[in-house]
Formats: sequence, structure tokens, C-alpha cells
Amino acid sequence: MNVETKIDTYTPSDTSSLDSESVNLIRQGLSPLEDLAEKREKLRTIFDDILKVGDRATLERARKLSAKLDAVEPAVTMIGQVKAGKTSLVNAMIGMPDLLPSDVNPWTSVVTSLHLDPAMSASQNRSSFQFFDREDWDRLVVGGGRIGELARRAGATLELEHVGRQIAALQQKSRERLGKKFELLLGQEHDYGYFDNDLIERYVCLGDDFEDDTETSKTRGRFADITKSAQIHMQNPATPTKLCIRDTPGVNDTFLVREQITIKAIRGSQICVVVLAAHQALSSVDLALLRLISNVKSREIIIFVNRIDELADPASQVPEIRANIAATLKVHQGPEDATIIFGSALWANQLIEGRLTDLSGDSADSLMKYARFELTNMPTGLPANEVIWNLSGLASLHYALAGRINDGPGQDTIAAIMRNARNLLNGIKISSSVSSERTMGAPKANADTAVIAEEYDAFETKRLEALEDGLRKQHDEFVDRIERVHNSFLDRASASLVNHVETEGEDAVWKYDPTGLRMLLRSSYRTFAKRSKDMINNALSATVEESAAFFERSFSVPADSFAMQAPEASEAPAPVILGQTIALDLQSNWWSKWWKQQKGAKAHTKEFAEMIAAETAPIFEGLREDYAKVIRDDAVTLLNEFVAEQKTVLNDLIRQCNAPENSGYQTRQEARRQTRLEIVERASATLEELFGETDG
Amino acid sequence: MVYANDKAQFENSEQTSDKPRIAVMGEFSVGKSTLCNLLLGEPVLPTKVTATRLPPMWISYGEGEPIQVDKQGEKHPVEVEQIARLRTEETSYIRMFKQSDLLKMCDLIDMPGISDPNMADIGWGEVVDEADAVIWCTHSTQAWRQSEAASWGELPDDLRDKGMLLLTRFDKLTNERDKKRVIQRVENETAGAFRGIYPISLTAAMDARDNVDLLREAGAEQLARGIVDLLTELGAVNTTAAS
Repeated sequence: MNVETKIDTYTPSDTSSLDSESVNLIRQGLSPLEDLAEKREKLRTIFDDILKVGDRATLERARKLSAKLDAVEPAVTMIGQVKAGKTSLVNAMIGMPDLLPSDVNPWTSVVTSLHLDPAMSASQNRSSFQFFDREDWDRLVVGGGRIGELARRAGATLELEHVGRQIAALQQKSRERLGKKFELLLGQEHDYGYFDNDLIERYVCLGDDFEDDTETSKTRGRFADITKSAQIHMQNPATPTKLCIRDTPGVNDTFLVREQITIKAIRGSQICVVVLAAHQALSSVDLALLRLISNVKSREIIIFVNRIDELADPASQVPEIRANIAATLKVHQGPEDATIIFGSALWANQLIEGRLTDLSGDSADSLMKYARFELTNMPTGLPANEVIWNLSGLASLHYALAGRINDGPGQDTIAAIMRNARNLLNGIKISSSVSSERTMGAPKANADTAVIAEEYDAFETKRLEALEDGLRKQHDEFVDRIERVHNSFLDRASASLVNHVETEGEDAVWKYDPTGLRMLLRSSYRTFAKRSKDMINNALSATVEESAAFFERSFSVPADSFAMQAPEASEAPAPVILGQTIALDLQSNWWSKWWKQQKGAKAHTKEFAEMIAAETAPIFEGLREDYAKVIRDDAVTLLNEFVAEQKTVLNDLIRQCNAPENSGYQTRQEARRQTRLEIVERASATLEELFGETDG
Repeated sequence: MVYANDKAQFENSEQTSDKPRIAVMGEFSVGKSTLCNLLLGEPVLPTKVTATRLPPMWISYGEGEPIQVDKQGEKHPVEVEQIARLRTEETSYIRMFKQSDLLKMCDLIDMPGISDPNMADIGWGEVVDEADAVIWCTHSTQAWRQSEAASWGELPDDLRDKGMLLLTRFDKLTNERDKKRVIQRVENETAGAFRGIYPISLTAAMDARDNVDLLREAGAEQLARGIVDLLTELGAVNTTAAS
């Protein structure tokens, strides 16, 4: 292994430490997350209690859940066109203006995840950088990546050459920067026990091809071309809970292959901030990006219109731009209810650095004009720094993000862990009450315990099979549906093509909008996701009910002891794969070239069907395999986890039933029973309180 | 030369006019209309922070009311105030007439911006085939993106060496090093696609009026020289340009 590992302690320099003023500003904005943090703390005390009273199997389960609780880290992904100001905005958001390198030229080349943690110490700061693996790299350099495949299929030789040149230059550059054997680095990861600007620049900065020969320019971007992602873990006192902010390379870059990296990154994100530049807010590229991410829930999109410092008169222009964005979103069925925030990462960063006086004439002028206008909307008597923080849009951005996390993904994860905790506590209660009845001489197991155990195993298998059957049925229906959609799209498009050739002749370029295909696929996917979710939830509730009935049948305990809570299926992943560019999208340029190469209407129809089939195949495959698999795996995990929980209870009951009367085991159990019950009751009360807060 | 001042004369002049036509193109909101106004010496075209959404505006030397040319090639006189309300789907282009120095040497066509989602269906139409040269405007802080490169690649090949690339709002880059590096990158990426790259601050040039030093600082002088070279090459004139 060639993993280069350096363990240094990172001494915060003034470029990346946070002063208390910035911490306060950020913390105020993120205040809705305090609620999440509080819930987490309460849940933690419950797990601490469980850890005091549980038996071995329960302990293991409690530890797992506790670790899951620790790992809760809501993630926010920043996306947008090249040079919209994503990186500067990320720096402002975390209060470290110089952390990630930003530049006048496109600079960000990898997906960088900043993991903020209020609880860890600064000495635990660390970073790691992942390189492309061999397969990704080969696909890129041999086929030119997705764009190359597209160009080849569309017969766009010029574009293919263009991509080819870019790839050759990329390889050449990597060879120069990393030596001939740079490919040996593929698939590896570099880990460091610190991070600083130089280090980050080495991995995430594109660097200039024409760079002057200064010392920094030689190390800068050294690994950038082969790096795919970066993880930076840092202590950050400004956030109430863990938080991950992800910076991505801009789309619409002339370096086409980077775009795919961003599209991949979006897939796993629940909350996205789309960054626009105020001077050209919402172009067709932005709109395409919004469509890409809004396939399931538009509530979790925030539009940040950056660079209002470049507007001559933000006070009058901001409302105009806002109205324009809203109107465009409406006309084009964009996410109408997305929050739109205006601001300037430049102002925010200057404020943090205490360099507002450095603002250039125009920018300072804009700030003053905007301030005069916006001040009427702010409470009077705000200190100057808060006023500017508000004007920079960062206050609203933090607040909106924290609110979204709190209402959405953050709360969902916590709620799922709460349901697990309730089942765990109920399990402990059951075993405690059984032992209590036993000491009073009540009958225990209603059948041979070995038989009970076998029956439960059979029950488990049966429920799992039922779930798998249900999933398969949904999946088959889904595959049928999308195949029908695909065929009818091809039929309609081919008919339109034949008609075009008949009426317009072969020279006029035929165009066909693939929006219809996407819409139909999206609605098929939505139906599939919805039906699967209902089916999974039903299967889970049935499992819970039958399990409770089984316990009641098999053991003599009060009837409601086994009232367990059914886990809930997670939200299906958003089908961002639908946004993947296909040849029909590129009508303006490649399409007409492809058209001109084809001869005869028959050839058109045949070639067309083949090309579209080849283009859409990965989308179908993705929906059919990857997306369906995520839904399936989630359901199976939930069922397995629940059954495992119940088996813990079952085994504990069996052990108690089989223990000889008045044995040492039982006496010890009884001695601990009272304390156990007290602690469990206390934990349950806290948990129910928490449920009450969540439901209210 | 005869200049149009009524419809009949315009139709006549259109047939006989052999002045080169410069199309001003680029994404929306990059300053195309502002550039036209600067070149014409007066605010002929409306400008705003969001997309203006006008059909191609073909401006020639002369006087009289503008004329709307619809998709069937029919001509209809329109008033200036009506232009913004015309349905872009039905309009091929608008002809306007102004008596400005530049227009003595060439016609100017302000094209609709690309990448405007609300103008997606409005192609450049045949108007772009009428152009002899192109001034392509790109915003300095987001200069030369893929959507622009793709649209530029779509233009007829004979326009390629008749293209000038303007980096507008160049004053938004605040130091010399940044300015140099943006120019270097754009030069690299557009290698051979344009006859020249012209950084400019259109608002500063507007404010400079006749102050030669300020015009030079804004980049307007270099632009004017570039246009004169281009027009000379196109065989239009050999006088000095005015802006």
C-alpha cells in the first residue's frame, strides 16, 4: 500500500480559526438545529439507561443504535453553474473565508465534503482524499466518459475529438505532475491527521495549465485530476449538531467530464442549495439542474442568488430578479415552492475577515444602497455586523437550511431511532414482567421453548418471504410500466419522424423533445415508490402484529406487553438519473449533425430507435436495478432489524423460563428487577415525552 | 447612398444596402443591448437586469418608425413603445433606423440571448445567416461556459474568423493578476475561434463619454479599433470609428 499518511497536529492558523463573533452569527442562523441537538441529548440519556439495565443482547443492540445516533449528520449539497460562487459561499457558511480555495477561473474539481462537528476537539481535525478507481478512470480516458459515449453515438466527431483532446491533456498533465506511474495511485486514498490550505489546494484545485512557475503553482492541483472526492473533518463550535456541507464542481464547464462527478454527488443528497449568479439568474442550464434535483421533493431545495454585490442597485433589482425567477419556475414547472434567498458571499467573507473597508467602490456602493432598502425589514438596533450578515443572505440561508433539516431528514432519522428505542425498552419491560410473574409462581411458556424458538424462526422466514414477494410484484409491475412508456415513446417519436420526412423533406432537421419521456418515467417511478412504500409499511405492521400475537400465545404475560412499534419505510431516493443528458437533449448541435449523416427515412427510423434505445438503456437499468435495490434493501433491513430485536426478547424469555425455580440466576434477576423497572420506566417516560414533542 | 425614411424607401434601400452586418450575440444578460447602445452613442435599446426578451433587433442607418418583419416575411410598421409587447414567436426580426456614425459603415443586429429558458423555442432563425461578423459577449466573472462554446460551434463556419469575443463587466475582476488569468484561460479555451479577445467595462465606457483616457481604461478604444479593422477587412470603409 502506498497510502501516504501523515499524522501531524494541526495548529489552527488565522485562516481557519473561528472568532467568537462569527460563531455567534452562524449559531444564530442555525438555531433551529438546537431542537435536533436537544432531542439527540435526551435520546442519549435513554440509551445510557438501557446500557445500565439490558442483558448482553440488548446491550449490543443499544450500542448499535447509540452509534447510529452519533452518526446522524444531515448533509447539504451546493450545486450550480461554474463560477456561480459555490466555494466562496461554502467558506462563508462555515465562517472560514480562506478554507477552500476559490478563484476567478473554474477551480473546484472534486466533490469536497466538510464534516462539521461541534463535539470533537480541534486536535482530531483530519482529512482524506479519494482517487478515482481503475474502472472510473478507464471509462473516462478510454471512452471519454458519458459525454464521450454520447458524442460517439450521435456521430458528433468534432465533439468527440474535443473530449479526446481534453482527456489527452488531462493524462499528460497528470503524468507531468505525478510521474509516469501515476496510474498506480488509482483506487487509493490519502489520509492526513490535519488539513490546511496548501494540502487542500494540492487535491481539489484545478490549477492553471498556463501557470507561472511559482512555488505554490507546482504543488497546487498536483493530485486534482485523479482525485474524486475529499473529506475534511473539523471541529466547528458554530453548529449545534453535526453537519456536512458538500461543495461540487460547477456544471456547464467547458471541461465536460467534470459534470458527471457532480451529477453523481447529487444523488445521495437530501437538501440542495442551488447557487445562481445574480447577473444572470436562472438560465436554461440552471433550470435543467433544478429539474434534475426536484424529482421527488421540491421542499428541500433552496435557491441562493449569489453575487448581488455585482448589481448596480440591488434594492430595485433584487425584487425584479425574484419576480422573474418565480415566473420562470412557474412557466417551466420548476419547484415553485423552493425558497429563494438573495445574498453575497463576498460581503459575508469580508465581514468575517473584518475587511469590509476593502470593498471596492461599486460593491460598497451596492451594499449601502441595499442596506438603506433592507433596513426597513430588520428589527431596529441591530449591531452593524448582524445587519451586514443579514444583507449577505447568510443569516437567511442558515436559518432556512436548519429549518429544512429539522423538519425533514434530521427529524426522520431521529424518529426512526426513537421507534427502535421504544421497542428495545418494551422488550426489557416484557422480560422484567415475566420474571416478576415467575417469582409469584405463574405459568410461563405455554409450549416447549424449543418449539417456540423454532416456530419463531419459521415465522421470520415466512414474513421475509412475504416481503420479498411483495417487492418483486411491485418491481415487475414497474418494469412493465416503464417498458410500455419506452415503447410508446419510440412509437410516437418514430411516427413524428416519418411524418416530418414526408412533409418537410430530409434536409430539414427533425427535432423531438424528450421531456415527455422523462415525465412519464418520473410518474412511473413515483407510483412505484409510493406503492412499494405502502406495501412495505403494511408488511412491517403485519409482522409486528403477528409477532405480538405470537408472544402472547406463547407466554403468559399481560396482553399489552408486546405492543411493539412498526418501523417505517424510508423515502425512496430521488430519481436524479432521469436528468442524465441524452442525445435528444442536445438537439441544437450534435443532433443536427447526426441527422445530416443519416440517409433515407427508413434509415432514420431504424437508426433513431437504436440510438434512443442505447441512450435510454442506462436510465432504465438504473431505475430498474439501482433505485429499486435501494428501496428493497431498506425494507429488508428494517424487517431484519425488527425481527432481531424480537429474537433478543424471545431468547431472554426462554432463558428465564428454562431456569430452574429458585435458582441463583432467578434470585439475582429478581433482586435487580425493581431497579431495572424503575430505570426503564424513567427512560420510557423521557422517550414518550420526546414522542409527544415530535408529534406536536 | 439613399437612406430610408419611409416604408417604400426602406424596402428599396434594403435591396441595395451592401453594408456589412455585425450581429451581437451571447447568453442573456451579458450586456448585448448595452453594447449596442454604446456603439450607437444613444440608448436605443432597453436594458435591464433580467432577460429583455426581444426578437432580433436589426438597426440600420436612417430614420423613421421601426418595422416588424414576421415569420412569413411580411412587414408591419410598429411604434417603438410596442416592440416590447410584440409576440416573439411571430416575429422574425425588427428593423430600426438611427442616424449614428457607426451605422454609416455597418448594420448592427442585437440578437436574443441564448440560455434564456423563456426564449428556448426562439431560434436565431435566418437572421443569423444574414450576418457577416459577430461580436460575442461573455460575462468576465463566468466567462466562456460550455453552453456558449456549443452555440458558437453551431454558427456557420465562415463567421468563425469574423468573430470578436468581448469580456464584459471586466471591472468586476478586481486585480491585475485575476484579469490576466481570466484572459489567459479564455484564450486557451477558445484558441483560434475568435479574431480577438476584448476585455471591456461597458458601464465605465458609457460614463466616460468623450474622455479618451477613460475610454481606453474601460477597453472601449481597443474595441473600436477592433471593429474598424474588422470593417476594413469586410471592405466597408476606411474612416475612423466613433463610439
